[in-house]
Amino acid sequence: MIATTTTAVPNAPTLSDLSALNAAAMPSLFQLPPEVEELREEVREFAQTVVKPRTLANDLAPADAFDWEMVEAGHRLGLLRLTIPKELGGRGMGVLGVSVAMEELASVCPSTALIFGASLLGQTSVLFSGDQQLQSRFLPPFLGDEPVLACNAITEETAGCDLLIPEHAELAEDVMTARRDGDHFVLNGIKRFITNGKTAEWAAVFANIEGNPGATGLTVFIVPLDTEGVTRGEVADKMGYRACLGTTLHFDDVRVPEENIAFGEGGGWNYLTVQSNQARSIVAAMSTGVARGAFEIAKEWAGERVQAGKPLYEHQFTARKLAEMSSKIEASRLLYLQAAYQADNMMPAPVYGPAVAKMFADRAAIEVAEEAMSIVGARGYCRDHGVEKLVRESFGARIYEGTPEVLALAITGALYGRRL
Amino acid sequence: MTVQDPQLFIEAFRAAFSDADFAALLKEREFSIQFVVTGDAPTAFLLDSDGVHDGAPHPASLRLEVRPETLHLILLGQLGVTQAVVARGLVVKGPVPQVRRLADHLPAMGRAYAGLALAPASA
Repeated sequence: MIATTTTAVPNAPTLSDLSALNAAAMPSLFQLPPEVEELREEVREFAQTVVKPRTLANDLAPADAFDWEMVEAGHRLGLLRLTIPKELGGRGMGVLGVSVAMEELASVCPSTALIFGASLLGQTSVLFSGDQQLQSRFLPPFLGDEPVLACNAITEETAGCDLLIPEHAELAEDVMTARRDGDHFVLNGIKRFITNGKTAEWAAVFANIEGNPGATGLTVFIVPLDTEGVTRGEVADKMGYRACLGTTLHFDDVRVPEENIAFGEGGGWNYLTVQSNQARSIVAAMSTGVARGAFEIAKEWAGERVQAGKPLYEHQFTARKLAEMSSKIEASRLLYLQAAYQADNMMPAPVYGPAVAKMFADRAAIEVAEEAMSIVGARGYCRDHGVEKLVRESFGARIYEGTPEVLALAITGALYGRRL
Repeated sequence: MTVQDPQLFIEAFRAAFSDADFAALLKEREFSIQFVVTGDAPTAFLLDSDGVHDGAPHPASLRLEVRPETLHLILLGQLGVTQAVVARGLVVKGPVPQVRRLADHLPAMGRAYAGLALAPASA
């Protein structure tokens, strides 16, 4: 007979309470700076009280539905100006701060994390350019009362992560073109799966200057999305990450002034690699959050669910699963913290650490989410339990900011002293 | 000496100390920069509130590994620091927010450098 009564495990420590674990149980080699610790607490509160209650509804909503109220609440917290320097009115966070915030958001809803993350990524091109005229034109909207989003437009029908591989640059096909016309450039092409493409005010658009083979003339243009010739197309109907809108953007003879170029003509490829190495720490943090979110559901269930007279976690096979899941989360976290710390202390960010962190954490998220579902059982297979959503979403991070295949090239490239 | 000669950078930074504001800013912020100029004649020197020192006598706030032609352009105001990073001419090691402080110091260093680097051409 299967027992169905439940019993709570009193005072069980929670993995999400990293600081409490560290302070109460063990010294830590890695102490977060006070301002990052404070941000983590703020974002956790936001994630648990604002995001979590809306997660199921946003997941079940039509593909093109967008929860502006939630974004507005995040904006009030400062999530859309996290990386803008304090002297300009932002929160002045680096990669470490953003990573920690993204772990908190992703533990509840990685899709929501990506709304904010993609906007920050778009802003990075303007911030990193050091170009004061670009900063004065494109950053102030994020400092106002109303929430405004940015996006980063790289992916195309036939090009994505492969744009990061040097020998692919000449071979890339059908890359968006930019043709000089006086003091303007004329952009033509289609961008696919652009997170925030439906909702952003402006985009950092990567286009190849006409006359250069493949993507060898890749250039970053800051393009307001209300510019004539820009059309926001269909929203992808994704298996996960449904709260953020992956949108097709059409550019038909879009005229952009040359002062909207962020890193000079042809500077796009170098910037793309710099940006990716920074962003990989952040995506690794999001995968860590996905794993943590799934683990916490499974852990709670394994503490309550009684089988054969004792809670699940006391059964050796389940105990081993929980222990391995926990180990993977801790390892993922340490890897992304180290990678983020490196990114905050080295420009350009190194290739190896962020790539290793992302490769491990992305895989760990899939494995932990799968085990979480197996522990929770039939309830976990249902949509209202939360695990099912995280299983679907655990696969998402393997696609953007470097697939496992691209990361493998980056890691081995670093090991053998070859640039990627 | 030619433009982009590491010795020219050292001389320029020593000259920059005649700018009282520059010296005061370095002292006030306890800011120091170790330059490692790469290229044919790799050279290391350290700039702190006491002046310019050969080598690396103590740890610095920021370590800049920079190509001479890149440093030349940065000091002449023709290339931003982050753009130099993206263009692979500069590697910054140390807290990245400090790079913004570096930008505050660049005008004085640039003026001194321009005075030396451009003088032969205009003479």
